[in-house]
Amino acid sequence: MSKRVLIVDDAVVMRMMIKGILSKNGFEVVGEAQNGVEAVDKYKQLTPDLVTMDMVMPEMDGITAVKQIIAHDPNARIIMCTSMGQQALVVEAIQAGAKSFITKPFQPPKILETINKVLS
Amino acid sequence: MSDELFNREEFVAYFRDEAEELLQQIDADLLKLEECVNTGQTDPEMINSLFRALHTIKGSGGMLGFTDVQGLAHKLENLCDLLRKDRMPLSETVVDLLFHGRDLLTDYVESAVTGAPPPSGVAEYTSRLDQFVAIYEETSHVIEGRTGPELKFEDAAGGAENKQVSGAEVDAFEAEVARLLAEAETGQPVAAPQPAPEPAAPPPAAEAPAVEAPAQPEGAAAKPAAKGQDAQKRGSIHQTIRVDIERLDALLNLVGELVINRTRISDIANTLERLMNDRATAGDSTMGASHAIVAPLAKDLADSAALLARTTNEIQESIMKVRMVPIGQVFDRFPRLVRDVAKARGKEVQLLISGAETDLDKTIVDEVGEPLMHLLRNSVDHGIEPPDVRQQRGKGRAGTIRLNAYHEGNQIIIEVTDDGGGIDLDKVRARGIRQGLISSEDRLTDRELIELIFTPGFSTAEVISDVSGRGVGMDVVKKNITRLKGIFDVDSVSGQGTRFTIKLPLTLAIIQALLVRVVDELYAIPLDSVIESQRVEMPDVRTVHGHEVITLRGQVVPLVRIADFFELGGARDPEKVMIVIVGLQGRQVGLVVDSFEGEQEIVIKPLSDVVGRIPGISGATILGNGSISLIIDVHSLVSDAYVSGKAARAEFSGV
Repeated sequence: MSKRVLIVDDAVVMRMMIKGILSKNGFEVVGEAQNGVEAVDKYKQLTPDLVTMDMVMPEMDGITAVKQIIAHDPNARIIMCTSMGQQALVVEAIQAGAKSFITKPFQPPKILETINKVLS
Repeated sequence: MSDELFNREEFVAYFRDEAEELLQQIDADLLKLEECVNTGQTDPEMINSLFRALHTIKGSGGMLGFTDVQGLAHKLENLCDLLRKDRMPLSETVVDLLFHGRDLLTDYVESAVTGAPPPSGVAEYTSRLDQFVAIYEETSHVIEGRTGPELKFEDAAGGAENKQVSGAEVDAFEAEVARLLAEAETGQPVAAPQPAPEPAAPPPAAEAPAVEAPAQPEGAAAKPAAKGQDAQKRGSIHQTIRVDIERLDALLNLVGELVINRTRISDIANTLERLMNDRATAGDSTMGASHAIVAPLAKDLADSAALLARTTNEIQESIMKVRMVPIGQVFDRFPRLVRDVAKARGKEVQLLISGAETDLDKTIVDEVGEPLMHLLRNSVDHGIEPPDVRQQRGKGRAGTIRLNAYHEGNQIIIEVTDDGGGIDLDKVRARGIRQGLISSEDRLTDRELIELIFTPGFSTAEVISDVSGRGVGMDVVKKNITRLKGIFDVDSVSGQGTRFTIKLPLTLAIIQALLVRVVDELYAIPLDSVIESQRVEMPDVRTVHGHEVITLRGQVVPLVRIADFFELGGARDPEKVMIVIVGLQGRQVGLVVDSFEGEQEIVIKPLSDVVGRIPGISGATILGNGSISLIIDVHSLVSDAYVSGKAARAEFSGV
């Protein structure tokens, strides 16, 4: 069965792009969220196998969302989507329980590599 | 990025929509920020919101390879970051820099999406920005950076001079994260339930000694936003989708065809029923058995036609609703506009907006922005007095402009009201005489004087400013509104202010019409401009200066014979005339027709370019029986009648 993914990003372009890459490579995108609050809600509702999580979002940022999701499900597999220059935040997110990170602008092979690594 | 993974064009379209929305939001945030400069109170969430918007534009722009967009957004994001970390004080200079940068960014987005030439003056701007930022950056580091080595990645990622982010730079960044993670792991125990995993890139040799635990949270960066307007503004994504307007247009067109067919089927059903009844009452001997077969079929057809009519109506209503968008989409850019114009003219102006949630057809929303922008400019420029003058007149130094929208029946009303000096009628008269529009002997009512401002080329502005009073006048506004089948009106009280009122139909596609017959043709008159229809005996029609008029409740109404207007010929009834009184902005005209054929919902089909513009005709429609009916352009007929009949009317009224 294909792995179920929740995409979290406030930018519609980013969501579409990640969705495109994932659905063309055998993943099932089960949901999208555009801020941390939605991300936490949808995680509980959909229990996806994997979450891609943007850092900078309105309402609730990515790190806070990671903390809340991990509190709800310590085994949650979350990959941070980060811009260059946000290394401190990446570190914080990973300490909060995120499994790995990918750097924007994305290189599709790298996304897939990272995701497969986290899922294995 | 490998292109086969996504349809670039589609993404660019999304990017454009999103960027436009965000740039609008940035504008709104900047206006609030400017307030903060004056009041001295800053809301950190406002700067965060600004930062996030710029960040998103940077990210999405970067994904699509728009390096100019990415670079400039990054520089502005950087500036906001200094603000939100309190490393730079909020000042008018910063806000102006951000406003300017936001405008350049808008141009860059446009240029990236459409291939238009990039904006000019960017080099000057960025050097000014860089110099300004440099003062504050001396003592700090850019986004999220705290220690030396990080700075170089930041520079590599952002500056407009770096055309592409290379894979090596990404690798370096990821290696840096790995190093920091390694430091964190050795420096302090990891509290998370799962230990930090291997990051994607292999950790490099950690040559730098661990100076501090790098992972303490930076308060401002990660602060969850308070539930604010953002939440209301951006709907939940599972409830909304974006649809290309062209698809909706296609759908609407199909519904139009359906409406035509529905009417046709109803016609057939009615005709059949009538035939059956006629024959039955006439006792037609040929009916016999066939009647028994046809009668239930006729009834079925009638029932089915009624059901079809109901469903079609519902579909039509739904599709209309889908096309409705809040007019706030247009209003959003006005606070900035008013601010800029007021600043340029040395005026103090407060813009109060209400009714931004009022819905109307997307096509109209798109078209109404330009005229409204002109009206607002005009109000700031000509309406609101300079602060000193206002003070002398006993008003507050700051003028108020209200922009208000609301529904009224099947129309939307938009009002632009200012509390300025009002339209100076003496000045209008003087200018009208000087421009040869009126003569000094003309006896004009206040209303007619005000109407002069709608004359092409008319401007009362003493000095031609760069804001308004430069050719694009009220006549263009009026023309645009009229083209949308709307009504444009002005009220002005000297010393107290001016109110411009725009009335627009909620939709342009389907209207109620009164069908009339003239000679052998059927014409449709839009019902919203019909006041009444009546039969008038010939002796009550008087001729003044060669123009036929009637007196209706004390008012003189000029007549227009449709048959003459369209040169249809045909004989005149010597005893009576059938008249449809149509009215626009208090002016009435009686259209003389041969007979009234009832009301009907019609789908407007524009006349093709081949036919061109025909005076007095605004479009055509297909009737239930498949025949074509021309739609009468009431606006042009009323104006025509008034231009030619003015002298007659004046004399007649004077009697």
